[in-house]
Amino acid sequence: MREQILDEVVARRFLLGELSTEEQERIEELAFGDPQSFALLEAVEDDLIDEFVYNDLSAEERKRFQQYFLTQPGRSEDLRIADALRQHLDREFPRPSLWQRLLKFFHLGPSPLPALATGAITVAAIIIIAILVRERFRKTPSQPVEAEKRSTPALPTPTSTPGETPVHTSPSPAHQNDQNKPALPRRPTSAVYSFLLTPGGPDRGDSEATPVSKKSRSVEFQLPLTGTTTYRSYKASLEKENGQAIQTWTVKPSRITSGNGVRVSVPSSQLEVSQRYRIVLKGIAANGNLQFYDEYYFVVRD
Amino acid sequence: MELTQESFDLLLFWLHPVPDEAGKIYLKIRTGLVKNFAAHGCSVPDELADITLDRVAQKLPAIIDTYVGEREPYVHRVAFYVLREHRAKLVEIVELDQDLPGKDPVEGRDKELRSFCVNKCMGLLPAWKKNLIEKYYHGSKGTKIRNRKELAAGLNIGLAALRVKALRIRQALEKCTKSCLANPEAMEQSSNESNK
Repeated sequence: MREQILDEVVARRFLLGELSTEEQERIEELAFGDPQSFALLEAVEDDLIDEFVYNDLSAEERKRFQQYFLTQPGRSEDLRIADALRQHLDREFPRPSLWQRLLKFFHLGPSPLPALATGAITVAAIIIIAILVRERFRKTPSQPVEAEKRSTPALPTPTSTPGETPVHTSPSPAHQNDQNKPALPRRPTSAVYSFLLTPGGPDRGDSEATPVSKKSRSVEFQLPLTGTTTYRSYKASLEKENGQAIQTWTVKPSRITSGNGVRVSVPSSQLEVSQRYRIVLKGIAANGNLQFYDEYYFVVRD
Repeated sequence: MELTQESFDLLLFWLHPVPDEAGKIYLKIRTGLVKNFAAHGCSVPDELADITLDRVAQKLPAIIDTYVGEREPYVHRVAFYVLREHRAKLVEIVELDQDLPGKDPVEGRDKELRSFCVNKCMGLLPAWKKNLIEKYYHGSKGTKIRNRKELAAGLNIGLAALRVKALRIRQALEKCTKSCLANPEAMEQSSNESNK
């Protein structure tokens, strides 16, 4: 009976404080009376910490984790140790390159050229067939099947027929005139991208955090000052969401796009794609003490 | 916090208004607590049972007027937290306030120390345990699932058994890290000696 009451899902909800008081109390009694249930709670607790450290929790779970789980005694220290372990493992086992991951995925050895050549030919054939099929549909989008059967299959043509519904066009009209020109290889831009971040707490989901591209060599962030207290200077800290510090700045307020704010720049190389970050801004008071001001969340996109 | 005679009397009264009955219930509950703490593998079950009852006695003034129901389940709920604290706190660690202003240098030093301790403790693990921990915990979701399946297959055990094994090693690693954080010099010394 006990096993039926405490399963992994319930244990997870218990640890994240999602159960009713009655259910919560029942689990506490159960876990004290049954070492197996207690062990399950410990294992799930371990999983939660691990998933938080690797950013594998959903936005809702992450919020519960920070607001409830971490407030229990001893858990902050467990989290810090887990983070130190993650860093140790990341140092010992750096993430394999895309090439290595591909080789592993396809179960290829260190000399994979023959197998890769076969694979590449297959992929190219599939792409060509896909293009041919798509172009046929583009040419005769509304023709009935019977008519299509009678017509001679035509090779795809790059130009559109007047009146035809465009299927795939270039992102901007200006590019439509360039379609016969050879495509230039894309060069990495050296421009600095600037992003205006919105202040907000940790309960914002990924979709609400400001998406930031790292296509330039460095990225500038503009942090609006929306509070009522103002300081002569501020300390900004860039952190991963798990609290791992990346960089700190001491900055003075200046004019930004939306009014008063501070600007900080980060080399793109320090930002990881799909990673969620926050910039914590603290005001430096006249006595030198730091006062929390606001925090700004963003997610790095490709 | 030391239990006063007054708190103890209140506890007995809460268990039963008749003193003799209260004494019997107290002993029954205490015996149950000792048995359960022992079943959880605690080395000092009597001590933990007393800590639990002391804590219940101290909480009584706040709940005595509103609490309805059996007494023993309440005591067991308190015991659950005593057990958790006992398991987590084999070495006393002072929690640092997350928002203390101007504490960055200390924070940085703590981080370094924690990293030092984890490295040292990982170094002290036997090779197979180290290998298990490295594979079990490393990587993000997809990698982890694959690694864990491979590990379980390699050890010829189920995923649940693997999880318990990994948890035990991780707990030992945490215990070692906490000891090291409390006394890093001793850890440095012992690791130098083992390298000689």
